Amino acid sequence: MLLKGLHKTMRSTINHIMVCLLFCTSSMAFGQQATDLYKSAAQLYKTNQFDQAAANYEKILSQGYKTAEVYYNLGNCYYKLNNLNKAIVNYERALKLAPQDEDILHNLAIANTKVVDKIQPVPSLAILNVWNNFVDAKSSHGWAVLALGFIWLALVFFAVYLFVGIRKFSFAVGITLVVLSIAVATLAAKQSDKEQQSDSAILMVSNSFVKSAPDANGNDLFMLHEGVKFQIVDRVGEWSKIRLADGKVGWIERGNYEKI
Amino acid sequence: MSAPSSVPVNQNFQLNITLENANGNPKPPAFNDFQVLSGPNTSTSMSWINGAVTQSVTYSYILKPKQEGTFKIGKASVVVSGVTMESNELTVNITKAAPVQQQRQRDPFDPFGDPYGQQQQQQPEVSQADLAKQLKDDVFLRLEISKGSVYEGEMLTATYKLYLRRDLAGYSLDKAPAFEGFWSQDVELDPKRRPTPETYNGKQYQVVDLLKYNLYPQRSGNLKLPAAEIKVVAVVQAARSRNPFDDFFNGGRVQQVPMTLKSEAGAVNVKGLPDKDKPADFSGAVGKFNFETSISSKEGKTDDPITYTVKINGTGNLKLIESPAVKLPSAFEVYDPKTKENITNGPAGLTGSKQYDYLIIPRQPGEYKIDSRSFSYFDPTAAKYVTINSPEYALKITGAPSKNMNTGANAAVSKQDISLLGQDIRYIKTTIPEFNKDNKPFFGSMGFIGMYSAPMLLFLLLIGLRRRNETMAADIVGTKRRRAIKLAKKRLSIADKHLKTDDKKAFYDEVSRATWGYLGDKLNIDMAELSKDNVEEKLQARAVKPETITRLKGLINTCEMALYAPVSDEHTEMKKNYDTAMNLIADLEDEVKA
Repeated sequence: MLLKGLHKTMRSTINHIMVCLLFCTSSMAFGQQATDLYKSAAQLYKTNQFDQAAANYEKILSQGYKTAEVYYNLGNCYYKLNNLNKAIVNYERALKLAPQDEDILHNLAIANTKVVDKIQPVPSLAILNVWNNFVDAKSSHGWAVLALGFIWLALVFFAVYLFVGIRKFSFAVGITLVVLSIAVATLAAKQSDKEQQSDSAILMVSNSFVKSAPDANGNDLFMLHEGVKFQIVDRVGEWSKIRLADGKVGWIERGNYEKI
Repeated sequence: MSAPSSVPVNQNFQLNITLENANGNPKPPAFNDFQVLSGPNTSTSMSWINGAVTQSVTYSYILKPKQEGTFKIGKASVVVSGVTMESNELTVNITKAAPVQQQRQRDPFDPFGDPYGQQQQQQPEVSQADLAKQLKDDVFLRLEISKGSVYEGEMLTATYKLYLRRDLAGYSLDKAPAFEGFWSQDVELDPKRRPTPETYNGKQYQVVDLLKYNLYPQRSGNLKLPAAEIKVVAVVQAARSRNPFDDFFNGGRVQQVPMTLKSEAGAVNVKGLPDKDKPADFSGAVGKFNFETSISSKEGKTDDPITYTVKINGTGNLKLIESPAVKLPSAFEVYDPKTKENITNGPAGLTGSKQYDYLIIPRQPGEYKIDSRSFSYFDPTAAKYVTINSPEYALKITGAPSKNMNTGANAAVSKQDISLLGQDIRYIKTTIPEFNKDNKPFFGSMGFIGMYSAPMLLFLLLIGLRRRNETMAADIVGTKRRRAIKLAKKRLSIADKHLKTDDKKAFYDEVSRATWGYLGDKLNIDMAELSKDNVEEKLQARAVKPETITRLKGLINTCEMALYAPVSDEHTEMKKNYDTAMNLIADLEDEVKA
């Protein structure tokens, strides 16, 4: 009876493995194509053929390989082609995947100097900044791995507690590690949330009036220029309610922006 | 030139030099025979006599006779427009002193009071006050209002007219009327105007406009127009007076009567502008107007100025119109407009134009439109509001965004920008990333959950394991016993073989040997020294139970004897002894304290 069950399990496991292998090989094939595109794009960029390099990177993205490097390089191409809003959008996408990357931050800052609207963000508490910097130190993947590490380490200490002795110490350490693991796991969850949702956008038209209501005849509140970043807060029909970093809100047509 | 022909030596008299319809400073003759008390005193007058208008300037001197006699006064002369004119000569007869009678207080500077200096005495029969009363109906001032009912802001004209059935020697206006609640504009009257005949209350009068104002009411309600007050001098037929010289020297029996004329006050009913249909952008313009806009060019580059002109022309309260607000896209800098006014005030009111030039400078490229502007006014004749709309202008601006912007949501250049000035972007990343379509995040994935729950499961497993170990360890006795039996079985393993082959001798030999061997090992006695007594002693020392010792002794005996004492069932016996031996060894193992 037991043997029969064992047999079945073995069979399905083998099936699983086969599928995985197949999948891996096929994706490896596409991965190879992407790598080729990436390499040739680097060549094109070197010889200043920015529009063709951009085309390569866009192709990689369209195949579903969304990595920070590709977004960053694409941003560079658009910047060189003087397409400010596309450059900024791609830098921001790269930054989302690699929030601490210095190159991305630097280039984004340079691109932002060309944005006409200089928006002074609402000053936030220093302590909040410290906290946010800490949380952003790792991506959700990073925190998840750390959480796993802690929980496995906790297991080791519990085993020691159970079988070896040094009871009080090992128990205490074990419990601490469990708590740490849960805390880190929450951080991972928070980062994952942040990475998943997309409510920031960049203005893609050269200038646009922000209205007081979702209506073309509404009052003009203020004007924004290409490349400026804002948050999407609400949506009514073809109009979206946006909020700038300095707190200003207004309505803008959906076609005028691209989400990060 | 004129003066009385005869003056008592103790009286002063007045000498007048009159210049008619000309401007100039006459040179007086020498007054050798007289003392000049004062002069020259100037007075101007305009007179309408018999329909003729004369403007004259009189220079008068007060002279005091020095002595009796007849004296000549020479010609006065004046140069007007290069031409020299001379007056007449005079002869004055200074008579002996006349009795001083009630002297009328004579103001030597009053040009109208007794110009010939003769009226020292009261007029006996008819006083001037009585005369003035009589002349009330012959000379009066009337206020004429063009419209009794107007809208707020609509112009009306107030004219103060003089009605005459007598000639006037002159007039003076002390105080111009003040119009409260109105904005007033003087209307210039033709200085050469002539009176016109008009019938009023059944009588014929000569009427002349004295003052004319265009008035624009500033509020609604019943507004009052003030009465005007002027002083005039009427010329009448004189009554007979005692002094025959009066008649003679008063110019043919005429008498001058100073009068104060006051018009009646007026009132105007000013209607408020209707609220119904009032346009939202109406700001108070009343009249008839035109509204135009124009733009200097529809295309341009950033930072190139463009002029947007707004022009309002027409008739009405133009001066009160303000520049209309101009709303432009925030990409434009707008400066306050330059105003050009060209307004004239005529009898019909204020007419002309007001032009506003707005200078706008685009700071951003792009396509913009200047919205259509509207201008509303109220037409009082039609009694309705009129709105005129200007066209929309589409502007196309090219060029780079202006460097000197101060428009837009935020224009402050941040410190960060300054530090990044001139820097270029960094190069692309050259390390090839791992391309895997791993869209699902690690956190929350199956792998993560599995790897996270594994330790927990393992932990539970470990607990179970430990429990079992503990229960087992708790069962000391059983454990020990099992160990002991294992040991015993081991020792007797050869004996067991012989049991199976039913080899009686070998069996009992082996049992014996195993037992002694065990005892020797357990009690640390050499084989050579093993004896029943030793063993017994040692066992007792080791606190083995007495019965166990007895059993042992029994077994040993049985083994020795078994070879010699045949039994009926050897096998069963052998088995029994095997078990005994096993239990015994096990018990000994348990009981012998280590």
